[in-house]
Amino acid sequence: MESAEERTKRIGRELLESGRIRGLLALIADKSGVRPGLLQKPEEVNSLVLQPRYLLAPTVHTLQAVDSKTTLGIVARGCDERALVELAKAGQVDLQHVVLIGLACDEETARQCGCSRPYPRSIDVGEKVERVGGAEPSGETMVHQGKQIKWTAELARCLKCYGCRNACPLCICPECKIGLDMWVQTGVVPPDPLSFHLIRAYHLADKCIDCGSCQDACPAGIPLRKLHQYLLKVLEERLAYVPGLDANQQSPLFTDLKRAPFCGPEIPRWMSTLGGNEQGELKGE
Amino acid sequence: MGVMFLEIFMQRLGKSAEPKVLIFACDWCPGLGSDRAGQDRLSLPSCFRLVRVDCAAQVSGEWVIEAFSGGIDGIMVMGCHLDACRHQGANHRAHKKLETLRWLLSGLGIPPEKLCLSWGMGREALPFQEEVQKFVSTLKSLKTEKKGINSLQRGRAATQEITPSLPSPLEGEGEGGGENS
Repeated sequence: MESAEERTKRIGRELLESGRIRGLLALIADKSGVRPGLLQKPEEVNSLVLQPRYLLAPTVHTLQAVDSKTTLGIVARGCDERALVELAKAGQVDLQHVVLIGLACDEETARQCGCSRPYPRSIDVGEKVERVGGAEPSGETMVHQGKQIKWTAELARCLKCYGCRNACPLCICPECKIGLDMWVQTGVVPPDPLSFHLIRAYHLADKCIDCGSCQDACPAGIPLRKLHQYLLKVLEERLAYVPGLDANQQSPLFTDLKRAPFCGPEIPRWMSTLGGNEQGELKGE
Repeated sequence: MGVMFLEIFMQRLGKSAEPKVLIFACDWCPGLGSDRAGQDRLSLPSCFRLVRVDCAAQVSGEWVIEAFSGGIDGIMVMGCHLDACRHQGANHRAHKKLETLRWLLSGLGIPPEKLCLSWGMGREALPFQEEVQKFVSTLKSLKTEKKGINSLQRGRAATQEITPSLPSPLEGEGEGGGENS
């Protein structure tokens, strides 16, 4: 009965030996600790480890920016896969040249993370565990450690280290708006919470895949994930959209109201008087 | 947009304008509506400034967020009728994006009524007057809010109050060193 790690190593070695992939992105343990790395020879795969949870998807984006034609392998958790799907939607990653070794998070990791889908679509290693912990079942997502979040107090601890933005797999804009002095004043710490955090949350509204990298990266321990989870929940209820699931599904914020209408409890009255023909095409579309 | 423009608008609004309203009106329907309202000399509240944009979809979330944090009380984004945007239905997308922003703001405790989205005016002066008057009276009734929500809005002022003044590590090395080591 091979362990998850042994199974991953075996699959990795087979993929490298067969030449299907030129390199495997995985976590490597050596004498300096655990770090992400690119394994290129089958014998290097011996140092592969699976813990801790670390998002390798941003590295795919960085490597493909240099060379997008070489096939890479990646040990991908559920969050890695969702990040790659969202990056592919934005045209930033070519999924044809990425081979995923699907790793399902074990119960301990799933509980620490609390995301809604701790497994990728096709699982090669590990047993599927459904969502554990995470958002409170009553639907109150703005609760952290049992208490309602006071955002003014929480965001006042922000150092403007940009760790959240740097760690996020989907914060890839070359000219990041919150790095510009026009929107976020230079030299003011903590930054104006509306400018920095709200602009970031708003820009990621239809892209956040709930990986938790932002909260993990924050040195001040701000529950950033709750902010994004709130908006994701609203988007799911009102626009029936969950990012990261289908690479062919376009975000509703880029389509008109006929193709992606509002749903949920409070549909405005005028929605029923929208024009268009039977196919739902508007004139000029 | 940004901080500089906002300061100019706040100056032009004047200290006595209450509540301070910023209207983004697209050149086409609401722009014509507002022009007609002016020609017909309809009575409008004096506490707003209007910014003409080519299309309401040009209004990005950053503008709205920046305006709220700079002290504007209410923002209206006015565009053409939903099927009538000449820019290939861009007002649909604008509505969805700004609605998402409204949900985000309301999650943080900023009342969603502060952002008004209005589609369709088309040289109709009376609807323009009605919308603006209705919005201003909604804002006035929102004035009785708790201080907590207001402090998140006046982001700049709030952050200056709560940033503690830490002693620089370089000065007071003799006195401060004893506590920190």
